[in-house]
Amino acid sequence: MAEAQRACEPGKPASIDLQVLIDSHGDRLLRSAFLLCGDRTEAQDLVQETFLQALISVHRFRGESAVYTWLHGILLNLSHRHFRKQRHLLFEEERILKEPSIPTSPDQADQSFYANGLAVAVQKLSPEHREVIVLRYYGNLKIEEIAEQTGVSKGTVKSRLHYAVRCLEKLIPREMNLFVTGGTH
Amino acid sequence: MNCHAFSDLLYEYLDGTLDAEVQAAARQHLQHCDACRHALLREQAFSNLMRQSLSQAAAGLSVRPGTRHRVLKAIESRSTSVWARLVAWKSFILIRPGLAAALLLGGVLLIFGTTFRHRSAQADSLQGNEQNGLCTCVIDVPIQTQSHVFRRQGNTVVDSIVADLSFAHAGLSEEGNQLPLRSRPTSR
Repeated sequence: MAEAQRACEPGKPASIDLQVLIDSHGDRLLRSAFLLCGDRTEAQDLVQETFLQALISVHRFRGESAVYTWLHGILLNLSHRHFRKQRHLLFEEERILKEPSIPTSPDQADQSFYANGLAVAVQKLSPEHREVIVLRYYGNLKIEEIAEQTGVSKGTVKSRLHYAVRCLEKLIPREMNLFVTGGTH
Repeated sequence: MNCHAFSDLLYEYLDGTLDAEVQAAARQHLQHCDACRHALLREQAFSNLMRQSLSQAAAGLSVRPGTRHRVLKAIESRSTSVWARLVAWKSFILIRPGLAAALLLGGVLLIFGTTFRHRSAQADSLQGNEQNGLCTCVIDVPIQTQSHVFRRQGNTVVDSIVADLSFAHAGLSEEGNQLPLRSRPTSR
């Protein structure tokens, strides 16, 4: 955190410290931003604004969490603003849930094919559901940490996760032996 | 622990954030429940697939060059714009003090005017209701009532009357018809 705090001290060469912050966390933040918003240019803008907000509000950071967690919290807040602009868009969760699972053709039944498809499918989720999926499976965050980052209860996080997973399950064929019947989901 | 409880704690079980006792109970439940063991394996498989999928989708992305420069420039322009507004307002006051004072006065009058107008509109509305007979009137009428107190004296029962002052609560309906009287007890 010292590098970020030095970055906004008056009279100090802020550029060097900011560059350290960007080099350490920029790419990881950018990838998360891309998965959240689904647009590369938008993700770059979000990350740039994240660093800007971080420099402005660095005095509020008390070092209770890791620098990346703090930066990612700012990124999430900014992405919420981005999501609010998308309120007019219709997300496809309801349709996905109603449709039958994808049939498998032998040449498509390889994991990487569906892995790519899953990443695309994540973008069809509503912002709230996409957010928990990205934080859980890309950010490797625990339920408690997701609740803290998103500002909702653990119960809400689990409920959103459960719903989002149900949507994504529909996009993976049974032949991959992941979602055969009999589970508690 | 039953299947429903385990299902509810599945994510925390995988996170290892449950209390030691609950974690042990969940582990014990898994030993004899095929369905929950299956759900656990399924979640682990889904988790691995998602991790791989999302990492692949975002691989190769890196922060565009010049981000540091743009961030610093944005900070500079924001602070400049706030300062510029303050300077502009200060210069305006110095150059045109009369106009600035008039604008300030106008603003104050506008705020007061709006408030006053709002209040008078409320008063007019009340007055109008009264004129149309739409006013609800509630009055308290003191009524002298008597109550009987029975005491036993030897083999006889003595009845004494105690005067009591209570209030009757009466009201008028919107059409002007009197509502029935309802007594409201008061302390003696």
